[in-house]
Amino acid sequence: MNLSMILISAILVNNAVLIKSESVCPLIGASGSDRSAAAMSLTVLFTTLTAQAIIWPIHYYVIEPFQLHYLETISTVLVVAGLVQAEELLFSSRWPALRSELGIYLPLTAANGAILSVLSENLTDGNSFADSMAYALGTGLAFCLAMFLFRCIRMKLLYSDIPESFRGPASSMIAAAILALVFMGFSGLIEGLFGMGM
Amino acid sequence: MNRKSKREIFLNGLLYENPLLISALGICSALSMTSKTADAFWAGLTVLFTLVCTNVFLSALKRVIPAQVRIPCSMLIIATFVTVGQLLSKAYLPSMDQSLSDYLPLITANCIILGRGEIFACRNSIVNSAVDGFGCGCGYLAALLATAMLREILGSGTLLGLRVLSTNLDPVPLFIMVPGGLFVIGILMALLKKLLSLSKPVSQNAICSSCPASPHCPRVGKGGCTR
Repeated sequence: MNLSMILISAILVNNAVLIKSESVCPLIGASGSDRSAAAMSLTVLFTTLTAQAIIWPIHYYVIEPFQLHYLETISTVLVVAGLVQAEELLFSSRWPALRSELGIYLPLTAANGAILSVLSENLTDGNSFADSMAYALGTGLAFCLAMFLFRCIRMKLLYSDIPESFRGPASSMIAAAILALVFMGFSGLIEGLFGMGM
Repeated sequence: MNRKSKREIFLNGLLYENPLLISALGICSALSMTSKTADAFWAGLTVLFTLVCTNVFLSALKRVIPAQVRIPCSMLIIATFVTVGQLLSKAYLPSMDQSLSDYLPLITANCIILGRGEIFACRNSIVNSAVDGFGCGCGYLAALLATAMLREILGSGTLLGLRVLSTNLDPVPLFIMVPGGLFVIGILMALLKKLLSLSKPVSQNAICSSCPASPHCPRVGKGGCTR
């Protein structure tokens, strides 16, 4: 698979958030303001890329030669959680206001489905380092794109007269449903662009 | 927080802070677990088990774990109990394990468990944390069942595998896909919020009295403009 195909597939066709329904929670929870949406997107992008860059050598130079496959999941979870902990310390010391705005959703990045699944998929498919990094970058960008679109919709929702009980997460979920419906329209894009079946 | 009775903590987890429908946590795993009602039930039970055990452990260890390594430690405890749940279901529910094997590892990535640990268990007593885990687990289970029943009836015309819609009515497959799941959860969120607001008297929002637009604002007395 060439790299551009991996990127387009991860960002548009198999968007981790809107098609594979991973990490919808930070999308709903952190899209309250521009600052928190941007911070959350960058956190996810950074964590995915760094974790992938750390996990790949660990897997192929430590776990594989010594037959330590039972440590695979635990090492993945620990690397991601360690990174998130470091980010949390950085945020609390440098940008305490942003840290309290993100609230529970910053530590929850450690349990972000998109990050964990891209790491484990890359290992089970035996992807090369470049392919793995491209897939990780694509997934991170997919989250950023979903967050950007969703933040724009939230801005519109903020100024519209929504029925009392639909305010808050309920209207966000329905907006996310329509956005997910839109992204289903991208299926078949790979076949059209690259002329082959996936 | 410690003054609250056990009943209040339980009801808080079940209704007022329902993890899925009010706090909007665990949406990701809820979407993938709720296309069939039976799967949703067993997956919800496993979440309940993991949530209670993890809350108890995190609460018991809250003075031992240094703040700088709290998240990795929590994730390890969660992953341990998810594995225990997986092994238990393999041993005692081999028939269910076939269809659940895709979802169970996902529970590690379920933000409710880490979320309740961060919100509640790290600053409350062991018994209260257990009650909170039980309440939230039951709330999540109930929300999963409601979502799954709606999605299964609308999406495949069946309930627990039995046909309930007349054969003349075509089911809408969209409802067992991601957008349909988000839509159903959104509607249920609004419904629960409406029911909870019916049971509580509407209180005048304190901000409205100082707001310059309050004489002409339609939202005065309806909770104000804060979301």
